[in-house]
Amino acid sequence: MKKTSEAVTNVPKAKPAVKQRKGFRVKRAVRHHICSGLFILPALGLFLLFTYYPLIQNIMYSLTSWNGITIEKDFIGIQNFIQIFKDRTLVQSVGNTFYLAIALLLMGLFLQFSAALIVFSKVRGHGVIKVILYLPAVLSPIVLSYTWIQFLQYPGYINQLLEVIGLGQFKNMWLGNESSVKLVLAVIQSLQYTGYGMIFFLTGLNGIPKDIYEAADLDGSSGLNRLFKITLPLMMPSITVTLFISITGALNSYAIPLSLTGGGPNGASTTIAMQIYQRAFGMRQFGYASAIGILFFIIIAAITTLQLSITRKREVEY
Amino acid sequence: MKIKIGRILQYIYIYVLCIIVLLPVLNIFLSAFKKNVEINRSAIFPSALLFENFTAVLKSDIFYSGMLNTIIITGGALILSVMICTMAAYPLARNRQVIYTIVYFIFLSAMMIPSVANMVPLFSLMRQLGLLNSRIGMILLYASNVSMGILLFTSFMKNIPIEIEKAAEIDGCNYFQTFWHITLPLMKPVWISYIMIQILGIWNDFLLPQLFLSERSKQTITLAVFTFRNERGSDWGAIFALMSLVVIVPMVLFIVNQKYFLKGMVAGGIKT
Repeated sequence: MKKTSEAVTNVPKAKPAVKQRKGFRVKRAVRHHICSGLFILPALGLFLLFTYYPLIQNIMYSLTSWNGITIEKDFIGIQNFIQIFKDRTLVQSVGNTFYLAIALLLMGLFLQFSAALIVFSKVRGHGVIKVILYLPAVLSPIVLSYTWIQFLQYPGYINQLLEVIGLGQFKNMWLGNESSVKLVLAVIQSLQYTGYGMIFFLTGLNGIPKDIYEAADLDGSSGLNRLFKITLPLMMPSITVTLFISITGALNSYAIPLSLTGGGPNGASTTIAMQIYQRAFGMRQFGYASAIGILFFIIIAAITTLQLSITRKREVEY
Repeated sequence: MKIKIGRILQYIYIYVLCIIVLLPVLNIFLSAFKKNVEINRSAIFPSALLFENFTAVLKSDIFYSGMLNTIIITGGALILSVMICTMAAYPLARNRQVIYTIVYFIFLSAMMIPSVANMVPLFSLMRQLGLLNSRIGMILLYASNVSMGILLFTSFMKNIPIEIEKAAEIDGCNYFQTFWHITLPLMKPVWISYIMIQILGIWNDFLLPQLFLSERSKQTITLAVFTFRNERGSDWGAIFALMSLVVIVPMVLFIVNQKYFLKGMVAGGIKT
């Protein structure tokens, strides 16, 4: 590809260049870049206006005690940031978010990867299985939350099932219990995105050349050894992408906890996203909410950068 | 023999997983026919096929306004974003100068900025621009989310041989003509994948509509479900009827176009 395009650009050079023609070419190049710029402009303009401009504003607001209504914003330095660390409810929600994210990642990746391996081995009905597992990902989290209530409420399906199979003593207020609520939320969210992640892993699995496995067979490698020495390293690019999407998705949890538990009981399922919303639009602490947003952004950027650099390094060429 | 048992366990595992995933979805449709009492005590099947819940939904204005708003916002945002992303991707895919690479990475860097972190300044920006409770505002906002489109389109264009465009230029096509007559017609497959993914993203989005569309008549259908729930409180039958109408569109879209979902986006994401 590179070679051929060079060959094409080299064609005019081979011809004896007349002076006029050279000027024409420079003019052409300038015109080319102007056109290129004009083509990029609409996207870049909208993008900067709605993404980077707010990000910069965010930094400015975070240094004020603005309430979102008044025109003047009192500059208070880094007081908001100091306040964050003293803020019990906020610290709790940070803990919740990380708990939720880690549980979600572990469960989600396990479900996604195991499903991908099994579907890849061409089980009967693998086409339908793919569609079924992906299905919840196309539904709104709000809708899914409301239907899960039927399962999780005290007279719900899960407790009914436990009663039927004789495990009545394990009946639980699944959403009303501070110790179980986060786990339940993680299960629900990981089930929603099982099919989504599975598709990424399947692409990775499909991309591994068959002859590598044949060579491994000849060398007598099998089973788990093969999984860790061949399959996983070779599908690192799809793992990179899936991890990135899962981490950002998990840390941004908002709609499902909000519609299922409203953050309760006792704030046990309040996430950072819900806190930012609540502080800004419930309590009118725009400056403070901005500061939380900034810290949140830094945390996410740090974690994802770390993750990308770790997994990218492990990607191997073949 | 040992291998066979392992295989059987795999079958059981994946089928059970499918059932678990499917049950909540089925429950939406089943519950739409239940009486409120039945929903409150989680009866699995409705005692009779009641259509009262659906008539209640079809009588409420928020169903129609929600659908209409969602269609307008989704349609507008998609047209705009396909246009601007394709235009931006064209020079980004074809030029090798450093400046284009920088711009490309600026676009992609936004994937790391969670919209949650930005919601306060975004709200005050929208207010300053007078775009609160405005469908145009939502269209612009969704269209400004260009990272994914530019990523997909640029990597797709890089796979189109540049020789075709060079040939067109030699034949006297200018910049715009080459783009319009040569590159655009080849973009269809990646557009369809992108549109499918974006439709669902916008259809199901909750945070941004909740932030910017507080007025009932401007709400999108997903937000309408939330509003409907808060208004009707315990009238779960009607809520489920509304939800079953709301989820049909994305489900049908997905099932009809599954190959675009199951292939398109992944290919673009992983290659780059």
